[in-house]
Formats: sequence, C-alpha cells, structure tokens
Amino acid sequence: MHVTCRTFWLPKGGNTADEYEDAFATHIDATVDLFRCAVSDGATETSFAALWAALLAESYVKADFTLATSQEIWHKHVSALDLNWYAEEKARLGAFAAIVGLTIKSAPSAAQQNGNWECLAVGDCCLFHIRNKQLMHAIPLDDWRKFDSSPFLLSTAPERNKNVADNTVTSTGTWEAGDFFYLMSDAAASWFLRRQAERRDAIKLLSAINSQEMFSALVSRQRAALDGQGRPFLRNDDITVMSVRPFADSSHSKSKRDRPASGNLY
Amino acid sequence: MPYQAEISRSNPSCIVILIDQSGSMEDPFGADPSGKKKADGVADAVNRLLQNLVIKCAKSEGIRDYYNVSVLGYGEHGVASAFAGRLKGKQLVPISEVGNHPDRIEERFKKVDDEAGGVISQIIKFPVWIDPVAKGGTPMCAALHQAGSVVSAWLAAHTNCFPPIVMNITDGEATDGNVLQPAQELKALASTDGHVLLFNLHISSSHHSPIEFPDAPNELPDSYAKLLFNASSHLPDYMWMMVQQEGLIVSENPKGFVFNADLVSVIRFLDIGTRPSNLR
Repeated sequence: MHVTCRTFWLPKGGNTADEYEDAFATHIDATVDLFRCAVSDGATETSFAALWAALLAESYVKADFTLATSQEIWHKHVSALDLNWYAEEKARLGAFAAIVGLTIKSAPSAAQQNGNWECLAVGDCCLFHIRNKQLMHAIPLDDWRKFDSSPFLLSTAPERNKNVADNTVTSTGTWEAGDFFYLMSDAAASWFLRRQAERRDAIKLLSAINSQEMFSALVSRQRAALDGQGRPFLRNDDITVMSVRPFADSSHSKSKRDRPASGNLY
Repeated sequence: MPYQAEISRSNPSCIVILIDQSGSMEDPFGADPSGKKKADGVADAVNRLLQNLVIKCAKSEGIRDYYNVSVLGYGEHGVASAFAGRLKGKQLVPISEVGNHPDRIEERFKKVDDEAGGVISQIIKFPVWIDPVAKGGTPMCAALHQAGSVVSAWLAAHTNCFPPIVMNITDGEATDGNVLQPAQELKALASTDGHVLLFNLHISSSHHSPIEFPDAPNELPDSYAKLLFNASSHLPDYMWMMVQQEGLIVSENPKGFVFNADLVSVIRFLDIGTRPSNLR
C-alpha cells in the first residue's frame, strides 16, 4: 500500500504560528502495511492546549492511545514550569482537546484494490470519506448545525474524562482505489459540511488545493465571506485540513494516471 | 445580527463593574447563612469575577488582552476607581495588567468534595484587587453616568468591538435620582455590533431565594429589584443559548438581572472560543 498524505494548516487570523493549537501526526507501520494519522484541536479556553493536542495526535498514530500516558507526560511538563497564580490555576483546570484518528489497512492481497479503515473521534474534529466526488461518511458530525462552542473534549484531568466512553465515536469501513479522506479540525469541518450541503462544491474546492498559498487564499476568502446573518462562512479559528489517499500496490504500479503528480493532491 | 463580533486581541471588548459602596452595604447579606456583610460579599464576588476573567484570558504564554476592565465604586466619595494597590486610581485597565497586579494574594480555605462522600478543606490562592467599603449614600445615577463616559471613550476607539458590558452590583436604592434615565442613556450607546449591555446584580438582606435571569418583574420581592430589572438589558441570543447549555432554566426573553445570586456566572457566557462541555 502507498499513501499520499498532505496537511495544510493556519493559525486563527490575528494569531501567530506559535499560537496555533491544533496538531497533526502521521505514522507508517511498514511491518503490517498500515498507515495511521490524526488531527487534534486544543481548546482555546484552556492553556497548554497545543501540547495536549500534540500528545493526543502522537499517541494515536503510535497506536498507544492511552490517555493515562499522555496525561502523565503533560503533567510532568507543566509541573516543571514556574507559573504565576493565574497560569497555575489555569493549568490546574487542565487542557482539553478534540481528536480524530484514522487507520488505513492495506488490501488483503495484491490482487485486491481495497482495504479497511478505522476511525476514532472524540469532540468535533471530523473525518470525511470521499468516493467518486461524493461524501460517503462524515464522522462524528454530519451536519454543520451540530457544531457548537462547548463539545465534550479529552482532558488532562482524569476526573473530567468520566464520560469519555459515551462521547467516543468509532467507525469502520472499506476503501477502494480512488477514495480519499479528509481529517479536519472543527472550523474547517463545519465549513466543509455547510458548503457541501448548500453549494455542493466543497470537495471540488479542497481537491483543487495543491499549495499552502492556495490554502491560505481559500481560508482568507471564506473567513471574510459572510452569510445572511452576518456570520463568516468559515469561523476564525485555528484550521487544519489533512488529506489522505491510499493506493493498493498493484494499482500504484499498474496505472501511472492514478498516481498523484509531485506536489499535486488529486 | 448583533453580538457576534469576535473578541480578540486585535478587537478587544470592555467590561465595567460598578460596586455599591454605600453605608447600607454594612448590613448582612440575606443569602449567606454566616451573616457576612453585603460589602464583604460584594468584594469577594468582584474579586472572584476578576480572577475568573483573568483565568479565562490566560494562556500558556501569559494573559491575552481580550478585555479592558474598569471597576468603579460609588458611595461616600462619589464615584471613583475601586482598585486597591498598584492599580489604585486607574479607570480602565487591560486584563493582563489586572492579572499581573492584584493588590495581594490571600490564602483561603475552600470546601471540596473528597470523592468519598465527605468534604475536605483545600487551601486556594485568592487574589484581591478590591476591598470592602460601606459608607455614605448611593450615587448610582452618577455611577451609571461615569460608566457611560468610560464606555463612550472606549467605543470611540473601538467602533467594531463586541459591545461593552456594564455590571452593576447593588442593594438597590439610589440616593441621587431615578436610575432608569442614566441606564437608558448607557444602553443607547453602541458599537457596530450592538448596544451596550447593562446587567444588574441585586443583593439583599432579605432571605428571599436567588432569582436568575427572569423575564418579568412579577416574582421579584421589592420595588428596588423591579426597578433594577427594568433598567437591565435583555440577554443577547447567544448568551441565552449558552445559559441554556449550562443547564439553567430560563424563559425565552430573559434579562441580565440576578437577585441574591452569583453574577460571576455571567462571565461564563463571554465567548472567546471553545469551552469544553466537561469543564464546568
């Protein structure tokens, strides 16, 4: 199996790149021909959220998705810092983040052009599965109106994660040659679902992006465009869009037309 | 649609807190069984409100200036900045300056659930900016006029900001006129995103149960509470939705008014980004 994966991201408008609190990670396990990737989104109203988001994304792709380990690393890092009263209090409340992770498994045999995928999501980062330019799956949210500013998120504080099982969405499916996936943090995911529902061109718009400059231009336009109620179509927030396209080895070697050109996604 | 402007460092908003420091604040607070004076309860509430606002704006690297804050006391000496210590005399202060310059940090005991069916005392840090004061009359109209001056100057420099919020904490009776007129003038001020919001917290010596965000004055216990209810702004739609999400039962058109209740809750509804549902 081969996988083409590209990630575009931008901090919230007005913030610096250092203040970006989403995170993303990828990992290839060649021994079992498996690809794992994740996008995580640290909550704005919590501190050390970027670190927490990065730990969650890394722990998912390393197949070591235990909250306890990530929490321990986070607490170790934060407790080593000399914090004043408000930073200490904020850290005591813990950091929170959403995550969506995707695992793609290779086709069971060289003759087959498909394989399985698995998804895990907590919060409002989303996975979208696209086939023949159609949205096949949207996980965990499938309607832009379901996004709000208070999702359940994974916390560094164990006592805040009591309902994590009820708030974890898992899903599995099958990919075929030509399918692709998007993993997005919430602002992008909400925009994507709305744009697809109202104008049916979100997939087309995103699939045309093949550089950070094009991505930045699209984000700027959509942040500036207002709907009938005066709200921006794309909420001003950190934004991350990861695209993933798996290829069975046979199709990859057989058809050069299916193979993406360098620097070109689809 | 109003009340949608993003609150950010490049487009900050403004919060003005008005504190009744008149002689009647020496009386005990009805909702507190310990017999605590109203002035002590209000000072604690404002210090907690400032603490929560600072924490809300704190990030790993420091405090982001999403707000500028004014705290004005009204009583024996008219209307003046209520800050103590290094911020004394300052009318409007960026929230980072508030966070970095409390007058002092006290240690207090807080009772917390020990998760085994019992309660334990925990030492907490309690930053103090405001001390209790209870002397003289209640020049609330003058305080609302002063808030109007602060807000007008802010709006002149921040025309597109989320509308300033004025929180008035009082036991109810102005000694310098009818508060409705200056309240109306204050609420008439606006940014391009909507009119200034005036919320009132009425504390009382009566043992009447707390009332939060009512939509009509009928159940309020006295004429002062009804007057303050009438002077208050309606909650904007987004705040109403957040109040609902927090599990408070409110009607469809509530006002920013609470009686013998906790105004600190109001800042939970200031929206500066994702707030996890499991962080409450």
